[in-house]
Amino acid sequence: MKKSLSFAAAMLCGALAFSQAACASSASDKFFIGGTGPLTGNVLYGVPVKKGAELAIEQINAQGGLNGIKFQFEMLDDEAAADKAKTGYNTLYSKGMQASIGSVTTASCIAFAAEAEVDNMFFITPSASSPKAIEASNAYRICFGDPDQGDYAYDYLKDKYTKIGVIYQSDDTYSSGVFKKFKENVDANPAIALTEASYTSSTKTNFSSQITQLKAAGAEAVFLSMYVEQAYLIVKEAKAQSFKPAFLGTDGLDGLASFAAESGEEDLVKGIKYITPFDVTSTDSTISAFVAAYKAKYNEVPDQFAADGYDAVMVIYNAMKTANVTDVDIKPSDLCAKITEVLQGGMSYKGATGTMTWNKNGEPVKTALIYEIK
Amino acid sequence: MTYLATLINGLSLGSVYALIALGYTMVYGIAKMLNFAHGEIIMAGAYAALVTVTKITDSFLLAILVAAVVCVLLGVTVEKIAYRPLRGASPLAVLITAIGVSYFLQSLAQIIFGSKPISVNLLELNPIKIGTLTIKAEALITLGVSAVCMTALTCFVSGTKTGRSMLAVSEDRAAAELMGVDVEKTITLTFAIGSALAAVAGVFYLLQIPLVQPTMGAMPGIKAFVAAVLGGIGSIPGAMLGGILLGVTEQFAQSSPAIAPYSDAIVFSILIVVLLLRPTGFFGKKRIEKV
Repeated sequence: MKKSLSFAAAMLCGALAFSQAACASSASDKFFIGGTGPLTGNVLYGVPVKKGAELAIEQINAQGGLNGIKFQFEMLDDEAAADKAKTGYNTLYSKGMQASIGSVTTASCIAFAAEAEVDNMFFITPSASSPKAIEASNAYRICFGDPDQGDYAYDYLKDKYTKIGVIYQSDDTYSSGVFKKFKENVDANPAIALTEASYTSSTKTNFSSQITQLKAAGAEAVFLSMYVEQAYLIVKEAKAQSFKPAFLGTDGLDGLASFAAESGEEDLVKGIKYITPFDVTSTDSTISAFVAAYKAKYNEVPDQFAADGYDAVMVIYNAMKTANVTDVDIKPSDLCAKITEVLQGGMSYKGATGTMTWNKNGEPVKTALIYEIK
Repeated sequence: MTYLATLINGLSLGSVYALIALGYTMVYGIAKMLNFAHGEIIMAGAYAALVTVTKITDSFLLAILVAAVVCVLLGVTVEKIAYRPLRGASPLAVLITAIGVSYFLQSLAQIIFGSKPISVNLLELNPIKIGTLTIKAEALITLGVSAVCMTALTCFVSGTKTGRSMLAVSEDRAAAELMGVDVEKTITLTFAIGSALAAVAGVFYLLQIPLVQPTMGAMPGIKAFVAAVLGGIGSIPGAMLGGILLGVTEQFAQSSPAIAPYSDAIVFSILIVVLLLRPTGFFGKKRIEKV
């Protein structure tokens, strides 16, 4: 008696689950864009990406959507962890996601990409910068790839300094990805002496030995391939040890000025330069319109992640517009084919992070700026 | 010459570990339990200092004072609520409770302050130049203050009646009770002193690594535990020696680019080696059991 009852219950649950999955994609009357990003945990880059994306959705829907069909957006929290990004993808897929902005951080995006490849789901990640994350043909990116930043940094420093130091995190894909290309370039140039110093995720709060090393080597400029918190600690340590090189950072340093301002230390970071596609002070009409709209909606200044999130959604919208998509129930794989055809066909997009087109690997082709903290 | 700079950094960080290890060792010696929530007391002290400096006034001394008050209150409360009811229970139960308290405090901090690291500037100090050497002023101050604290503690424990009753309880609780020592009060006092030291440790840790986040106490806490074991758990001079040795070892490991990624592994393998070869540490008492 008990066995057959539990068996019946199991069958009922199974039937419900199947019907849920089958119903999901046709239940909606909107185009569904989804993504994952770290909304909680040690890194919180998903928060500005989500804000930028939601601003874009709001603007798109305010103009009536595409061919009369509005858009909906959902970003799930993946805590910058690969396994959570994978579950996030599956949850979004079962909810009827048709195109995606992928995951915000590299490791999560690689996991996301693996799932998306199976379904041929189009995604364009705002910020996962490792080339590994966008290897498949359905995967694109808004921001620079890590090797590109290594090239830009080298190009900027090579004619100015002969003794260069570099600090990077050896167990972080982003940090070591940029470092590798940078080192490759420098090693091929006999005129530059390079001193390397590294750290790991468990030693990323103490930089006294790295600064001591670089100071002893007499580095005139130090390239920082990392994120805000570590850069802040390094600059502070350098000051404490009276070491005053020129600092150049990657786009991970975006937000350093406001981070230092929290403790009243704006002077500490003045003069530090970093590579960025997004200049919040730009007078360009598209960029300043974005900044104004973001400020009006959220009462804060957008950073590069917010700009990337905004652009990611806008690129999907513009590609769908060019391809004239009219079917609200379009399958992810068909939508992917239409979008990639448009992007590979040379579509150019002018957005908050500049004007860009895409090459055959899904990498963006755009110009970089060197931004100096004033 | 970089060896001297590394040594000074090591001594400075080591004295922070020593202050934390003192808390571990005293609580173990007197209450016979390992308070794994000690790292979170440090974190609480750091947040208290942050709030003082940003919301009340810019005074470094006030920050230490407020941190000490907050930590003492927190430590004593945790002892009353979580550990005292388990007085007669198995050591494993107390250990697990301590870990639970640790997670509870981390989550509490996350709810109140958020999980994003916050930068904090406690003191503006210029580096000190001696000849061709530049030494971080923060390192010297930390060394100085820690030395003062440790000396004061040693004098208190061996010189005053209350201090000696603490020693008595750690040696033989039953006998101490028979001699009229109020064991409960002594244990509470131990937690209070340990927490106050943790507050000082937290503030000086912030001076060298100016980032506050809910998980900041975990690593220094565990490393200080290793230091306490290295020096002999239950021994006050042992904790001081262990802390300093550990800090210096860690800094030298990190100064070599080849070994640097493994500096944490080296620190923790010290724990393994000590437990294998000399479990009582440097100054721990060898307990002889008469059969």
